[in-house]
Amino acid sequence: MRRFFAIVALLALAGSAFAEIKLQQVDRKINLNSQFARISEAVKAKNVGDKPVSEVVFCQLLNADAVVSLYKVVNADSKAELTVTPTIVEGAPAGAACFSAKLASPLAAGDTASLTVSAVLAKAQVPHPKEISQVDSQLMRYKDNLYVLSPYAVSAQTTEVTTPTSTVKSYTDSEKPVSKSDNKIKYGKYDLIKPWTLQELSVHFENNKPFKHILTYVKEIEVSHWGNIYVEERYEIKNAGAAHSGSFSRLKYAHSYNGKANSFRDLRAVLPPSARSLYYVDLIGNISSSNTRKTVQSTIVDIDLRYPLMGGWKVDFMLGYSVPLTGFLSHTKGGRRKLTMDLASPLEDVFVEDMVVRVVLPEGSTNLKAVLPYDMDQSTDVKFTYLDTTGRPVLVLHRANVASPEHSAKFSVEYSFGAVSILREPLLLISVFFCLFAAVIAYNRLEFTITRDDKWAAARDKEVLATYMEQIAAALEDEASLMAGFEAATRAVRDAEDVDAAQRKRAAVEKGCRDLEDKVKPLLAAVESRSARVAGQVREVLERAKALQARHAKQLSDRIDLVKKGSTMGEVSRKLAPGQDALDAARRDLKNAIETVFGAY
Amino acid sequence: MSSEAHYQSGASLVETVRRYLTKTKSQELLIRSTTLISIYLLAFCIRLFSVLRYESVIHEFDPYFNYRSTIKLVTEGFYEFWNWFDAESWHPLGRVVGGTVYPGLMWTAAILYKVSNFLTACIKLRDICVFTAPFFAGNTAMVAYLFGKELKDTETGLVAAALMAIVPGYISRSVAGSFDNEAVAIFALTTTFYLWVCAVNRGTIASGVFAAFAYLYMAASWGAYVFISNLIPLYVIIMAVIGRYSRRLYVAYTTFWVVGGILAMQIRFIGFNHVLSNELLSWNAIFVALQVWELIVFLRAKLGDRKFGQLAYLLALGVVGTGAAAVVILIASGKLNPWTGRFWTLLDPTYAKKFIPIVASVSEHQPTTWASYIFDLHVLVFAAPAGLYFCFKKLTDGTIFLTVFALTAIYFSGIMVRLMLVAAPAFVLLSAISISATLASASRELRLHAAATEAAKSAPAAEAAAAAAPKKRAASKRAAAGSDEEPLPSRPAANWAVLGLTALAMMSYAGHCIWVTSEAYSSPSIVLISGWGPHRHVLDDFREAYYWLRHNTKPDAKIMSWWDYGYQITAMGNRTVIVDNNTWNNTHIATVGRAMASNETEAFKIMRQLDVDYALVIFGGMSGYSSDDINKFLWMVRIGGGVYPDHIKESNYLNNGDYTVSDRGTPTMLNSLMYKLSYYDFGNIMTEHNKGTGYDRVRGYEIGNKDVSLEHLDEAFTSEHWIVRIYKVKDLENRF
Repeated sequence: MRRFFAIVALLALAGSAFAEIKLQQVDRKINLNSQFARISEAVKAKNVGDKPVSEVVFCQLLNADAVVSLYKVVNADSKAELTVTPTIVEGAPAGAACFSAKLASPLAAGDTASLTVSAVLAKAQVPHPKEISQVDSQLMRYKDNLYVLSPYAVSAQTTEVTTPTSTVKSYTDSEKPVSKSDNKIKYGKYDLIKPWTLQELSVHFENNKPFKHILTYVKEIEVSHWGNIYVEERYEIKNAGAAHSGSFSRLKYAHSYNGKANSFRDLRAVLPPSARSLYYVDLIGNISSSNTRKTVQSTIVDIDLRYPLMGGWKVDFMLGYSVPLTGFLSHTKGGRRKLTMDLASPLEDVFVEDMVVRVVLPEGSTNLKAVLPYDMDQSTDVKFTYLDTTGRPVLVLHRANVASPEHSAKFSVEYSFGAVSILREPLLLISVFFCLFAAVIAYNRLEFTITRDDKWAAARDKEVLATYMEQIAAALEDEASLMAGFEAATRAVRDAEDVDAAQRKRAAVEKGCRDLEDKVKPLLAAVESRSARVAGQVREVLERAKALQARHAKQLSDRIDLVKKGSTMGEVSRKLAPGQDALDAARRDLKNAIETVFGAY
Repeated sequence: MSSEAHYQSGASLVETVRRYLTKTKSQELLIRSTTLISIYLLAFCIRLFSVLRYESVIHEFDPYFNYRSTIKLVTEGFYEFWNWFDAESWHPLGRVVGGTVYPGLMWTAAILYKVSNFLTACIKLRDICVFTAPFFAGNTAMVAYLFGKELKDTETGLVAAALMAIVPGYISRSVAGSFDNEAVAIFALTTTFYLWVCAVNRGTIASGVFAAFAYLYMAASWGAYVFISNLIPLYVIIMAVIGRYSRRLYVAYTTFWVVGGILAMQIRFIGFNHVLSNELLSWNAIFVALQVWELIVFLRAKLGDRKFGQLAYLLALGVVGTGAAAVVILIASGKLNPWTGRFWTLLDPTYAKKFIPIVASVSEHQPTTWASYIFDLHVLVFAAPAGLYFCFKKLTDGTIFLTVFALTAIYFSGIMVRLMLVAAPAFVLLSAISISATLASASRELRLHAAATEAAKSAPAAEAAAAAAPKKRAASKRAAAGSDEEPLPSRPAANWAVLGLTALAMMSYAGHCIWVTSEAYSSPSIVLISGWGPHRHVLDDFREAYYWLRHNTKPDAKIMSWWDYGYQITAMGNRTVIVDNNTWNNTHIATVGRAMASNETEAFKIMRQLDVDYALVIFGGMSGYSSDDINKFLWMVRIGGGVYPDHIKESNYLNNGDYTVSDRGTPTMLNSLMYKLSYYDFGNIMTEHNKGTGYDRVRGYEIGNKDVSLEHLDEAFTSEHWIVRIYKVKDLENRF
């Protein structure tokens, strides 16, 4: 229905509707002091019809390749921005781009509205001559309509053109009054101009400002919930000024005051203050010429291109950095997450012909929704990168003809993300490593031999022998700890009352030793069946162990005897010292023997 | 077995772990594996100086071609690469890259790339290429460990791995970014030798086949595979001569010959050369000889001595006759041409210098000086001969192979600096044997001494048994070590001194290796850095100019430069070049040399004929960069004069035997294209304080002709420090 009404409204406009509005006063300013043409018009529109009017149409004449990068209409009183939509108007001359601005409240009959129109045109300045040499200065030509192009009748209007310098080769001066002072050319005031009146305005002037055109700009924002947002920007940049012709002399470039012509080499990027891990590279590696400064509000990167760009020269590069999540990623009330970032290029004073912004969200993000400051084409994609299984959802935003700084703005993307999804990648890693270790364990435990020949049997025997030996060694260690208990018990005997406890301990230890012996016996037999030599060695060790046990027993009984006799502690120690020395020697001996026999297994 | 009671210790988990860790065997395993892992990391990390100091970038010249080929392989697939005809180089001839390249390195990098991406590691292809060499250096150290273990024992293996990890002779070609054939080829070489020694020791077909596959990798990677296929027959001959020929050797060689030969022939660049080339004559001849010998042994066993004698006489006549006839026929039909330049170069080190200027012009083809032995091997130069002593002391099949390998490698390394690379593993293994043997004997003496002292201490005690055991053990150990001599009275001080000296030598070796790596071998040469700290200044002129070519010339523009820069221009500038580092066509290179050496008008004709759009020269007079084209001009004149003696005469460029571009320079020199392109616009510049204008900072004098004007060329681009200068060749004047 709305569309129907719009068409009806259009038809109505096309008929006689334009007669309802009269522009009482238009003051137009055309600023050519950069690579853009920045036009602002202060308009007083009066409804001279008898019905309220809700839309006002503005038009701009475009020459050659010029494009409208931005078109904005603001109510001068309330400072409120009006909704602007491109529209086609019948009767408009070729090359005119028209926009209809919807007023906040319909303009009643007889009322007047003050509106401010601002437009940014790119490629509107055309180099003339098209090619210049290294020492020439760059001349541009700008063409427009001398009168404000409008479907409405204009009662009074003035135009002021500002050029970068006072050097103006020529300008249209057919319609008086015209005046030029310094770098300003003033036209008007002109009275009572009919709708669609065409009259060429042409200014030919010097403009040595760099024409920094970014042919393609791709920005990829990759969010990791583990604490980082990675931003990588790819640029293909061209000097769109007058093309360089003839030779390029490094001597002139470096040493002549005018040897640089319209070239530029430096760019400035303004990044968030928390930006870190910056890199500035191209296809063949680092570009070793950039500088970074940190201020409170921003990180400023002064970039030098690989080589100076003379007119028509191109180069490409990549700029990357990381920012922390804080300040960029937040939770919304609905439990969703919201990423807020800069939308356009951080470079100052550039024109971007084609901008693509890719927002890569973590795996498992759903329901992506973008909140944009201006219209962009949206689509989705999937990206596979580190440890991805299903791929990360990508929101792709696209827009042509972006001007800096007018289009610098924030945008946000809202999405849902389950808390468990963050564990996806660690779990994946854990399970992979688990499987790996499990496979190694399985490989070690299983046998993959195809033929069971003598070699296999020998190896197998050796393995089995090793397990028995290991177990015997373990038993011997257990025995050693029992012996340590024995010794502690011996030391604890200080007077007659301790004797009983010591005897009990002795019985327990001896029982333990007997148990161990029982356990070792079948193992020894098994060893015997495989290698008599090794069994002999083991037996020797066991005998030593037994001897040690006997020594311990003797030491204890000697001590008990002495204590019972009532000797002093000093006396006891002295008397038992030789026995203790022998005991220590025997223990060391046993330890050596165990190492020799069992060390290899 | 179930009837046997299985004893299980009742110890807790902590106790089990403690027990496990205190066991000598597991301690040894732990120490050994930790050491090996550290060595691996060390081998990798020591090669990263260039990445830390500069960036992750491909170095030098040849690696750029390999990088470009790898990109081709990864993006367009195996078959496209296999059949690759590169029209971007050697214009207008082109180059059949698929058939003239050793593809092992590219395969390796492509596989690493695919695998890491499959595992979602997403490493960039450039980083894969940059880190291939350090990665393989780690692998080589591990192979050195296995090799040392096979030759002698585990300790030798560990020492070999440690020495191999940081030997400068190998680091020189394997720092991060040095993406060259040698990076993987040294790994392939040591692996082949290791598996070959295994094959000889085991004498099984399977081990021979393993060695053959390692040989395939080597043949796919580097032209020095010929070294292997000559060394192994030489080893077989030596084994036969000293009477150690065995059935194991026969099985190993025969398997290796059959499987390895067939596999190597699959590489397009090698193909039937593997059978026909005289470089591999010994490889094939020894195979035939072995078969004949085995046949003789077989017949002798079957026929008995008398009949066999008659047969042998007839056979000998027949073999000599047919052999002579075969050689004559082969030489006559051109299949066998023994006297190529390459052959002579290996026998006579000065041959190339005299007769092949293009070979002599490459600095890495110069004969090696003594200083570079010390520089590249340091203490190994002294330790290796000691290793030879230990090898001879206890001869095994393995140590004989090592000896043969080492002696030939040392000979070849004396011919060309580049072959130092092959000698490095030999030096490492020999040194490992001597160092580990020294350390082992010294520490064994010390241990015995300690045991004896302990025994002596406990001897006075009542128990004599306690003393008896260590002595007996010591005696048995000594017997096991195989020394028949009476044990010398052990002097701990001397042994400590030996250990200390060895440690000192090892420390100074390590220090030297680190120093050499950081100072000499870690510069990518594509980026130059001068000064330190705040005065650090980066000269990035090469990439600046190549990138300019990439973006601001027609996509089909042809660039003429001296061949050194061909690979870099095609890889970084993505433009067609006339000649590049492949140097397969000497005439084409000579034509470029002639153009550079001619006057502008003459050069313009040649450049028109070659379709040249831009001429590129490297010029150091402004920045002091000394390996520039004026310094290489000598070779352009010589190579050009070698093919076009009527047009280019070296004497025209010499003033009293002196190449100079000062005012003493000859008119031919000062009018040559090279002079003009280098010094255009240079005559009026003050380069150094207190010097006149046009002062060349490399040559150290003012140039002869300061007023250079160009008629047929136009300066198109000059980099910031004037190192790269590019000129556009003008079209012909309009003729009305």
